[in-house]
Amino acid sequence: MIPVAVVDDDAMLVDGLRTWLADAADLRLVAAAPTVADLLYTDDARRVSAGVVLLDLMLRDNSDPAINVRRLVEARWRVLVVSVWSQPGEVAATFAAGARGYLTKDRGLPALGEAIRHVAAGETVYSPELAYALLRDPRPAGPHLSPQERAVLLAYASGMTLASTARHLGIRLDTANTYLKRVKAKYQQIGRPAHTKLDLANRVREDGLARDRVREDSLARRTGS
Amino acid sequence: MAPTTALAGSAQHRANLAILVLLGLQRLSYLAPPLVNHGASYRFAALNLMLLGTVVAWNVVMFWQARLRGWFSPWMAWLDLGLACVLVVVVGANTPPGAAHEDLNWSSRTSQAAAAMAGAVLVPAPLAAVAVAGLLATHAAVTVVRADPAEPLVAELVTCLNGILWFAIIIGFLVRYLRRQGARLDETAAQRLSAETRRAAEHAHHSVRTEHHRLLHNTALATLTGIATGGLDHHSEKVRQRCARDAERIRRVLAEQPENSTNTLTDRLAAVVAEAEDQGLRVRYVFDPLPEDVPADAVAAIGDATHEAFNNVARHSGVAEARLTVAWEDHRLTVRVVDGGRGFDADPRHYGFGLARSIVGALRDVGGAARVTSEPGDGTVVELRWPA
Repeated sequence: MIPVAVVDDDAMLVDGLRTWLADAADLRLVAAAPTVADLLYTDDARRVSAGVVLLDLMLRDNSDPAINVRRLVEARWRVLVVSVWSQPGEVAATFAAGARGYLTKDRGLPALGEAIRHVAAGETVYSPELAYALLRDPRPAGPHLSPQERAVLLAYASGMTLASTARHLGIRLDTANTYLKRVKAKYQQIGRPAHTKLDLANRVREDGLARDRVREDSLARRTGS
Repeated sequence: MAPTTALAGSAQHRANLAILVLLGLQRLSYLAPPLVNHGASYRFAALNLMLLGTVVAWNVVMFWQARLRGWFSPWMAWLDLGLACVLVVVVGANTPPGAAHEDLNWSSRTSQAAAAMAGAVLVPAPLAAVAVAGLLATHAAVTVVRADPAEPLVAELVTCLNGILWFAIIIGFLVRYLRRQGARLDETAAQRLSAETRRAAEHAHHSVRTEHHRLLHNTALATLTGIATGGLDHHSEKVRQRCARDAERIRRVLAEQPENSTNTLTDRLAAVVAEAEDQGLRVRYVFDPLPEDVPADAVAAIGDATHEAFNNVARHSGVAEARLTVAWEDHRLTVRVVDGGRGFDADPRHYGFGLARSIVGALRDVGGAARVTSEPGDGTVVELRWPA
């Protein structure tokens, strides 16, 4: 059973989701709240571990989406951002803050369920909308992406699968996958706040790991090309 | 023939004011000595005093009026010239003959002042020249009549007329120069103001758009999405009320926002999407902002190729959904039509007529390129690039 929570101030949409989740055998709606603060104060939500939260990008309390994501991640939720409409910069900011994916609400409930399962399994859901948002992130603080990384993102933004991306770009499947992982690493790099000395030490250690990862990646690219 | 339409506070207005002060000071310097010496050995001292009084009164009235209007009216300059001519005759006659008394004849000074005024006020320049010539002729005539046989006539004429002529020329030039500079300054200031206004308007436009996006997101888009995905039952009274409320909000937004300028390629592709949707395809699309200056033949070819790509999805893919992505990066357009359907063997030798002619050939004809990748069971990608 995957515990699912919803942060959305549209009560009717929450009702619709609740009805649909009731029929999904492996998903259980444990809490719903109009704001992140409300969710984090409910007892049901506090008891949950390894749950997935569906976070509406634009809440009516005008809270900052990236801060919302960070608060939920700190409370050990895996965050899937959902919205009917968004600006690329907002979506990119939530990704940098640790969100596991972004979906538009028009994707339909079966697709949403599929995404929840992937996120619960620790994966990142690269929807076309997320790829497009990362590609068109206008914020000056955004990371620098290489031409290959941008090409893979554009393919994803066009709705191509990993296989068709690799085929279209003439690269190996795992190379395409590596580019995606590198995009994620670059975003999370800029999204990590360094508050304390301990954080800083973690950051340095992670940077060392990141360098190892890049070495693996370049190896993968050589074998892939 | 009105010389200026002065704008309060503008640089042109300030140029006019400077010349007005200059002309006033000139007159003050010319009238001060005769006012002090008004009782000196004139033939009729009372007549001299009366003439001085008239000149002072006229100047007070003229400068007061000019100050009120921002500049002199042509009639003031003409009247001033006429008065100067009368003074040349009358003051000349009232001054005792002989070089010893020549300094008492103040009419040559008022003539210089009137010439300066004519040069400054009367436009066009030839009209001012005619007016000043009239004054010069009067002076010459009076000088000839009153000439002292002992003095050389030509030298006296040159001395007298020279001053009048040059005052008209110098002040006339100065006025026109200052006005031109003023106009240039005004133009620069106006350009800066309009640039600032435009920036402010753009900022306001962005704020308004952000606000509208938020409004639409929170209302109609959320409602419609809910109904479309089955989350909301549109038969229920509650949902219908919500739809009515949202529609009202959209009407309000539309009422206050002017239409944005349109772009031909964006328009063409939007029309292609509409046609595909009429065929029963569900099209999801993202558009980058596109340049306005894509040539018409390229717009037509890209539009037709995109249309054909949607046709292929509808006929062959076996799915009813496709994605259109229109990206503009590094001065190159990339259009992709992607479906998740049954795909095919994308060997170019097996391309059908539509693919070969309407897509690959059409793009090549306008300097672009098209590429199709597919594999049985894994969807199809039609990619158009322009320029190739």
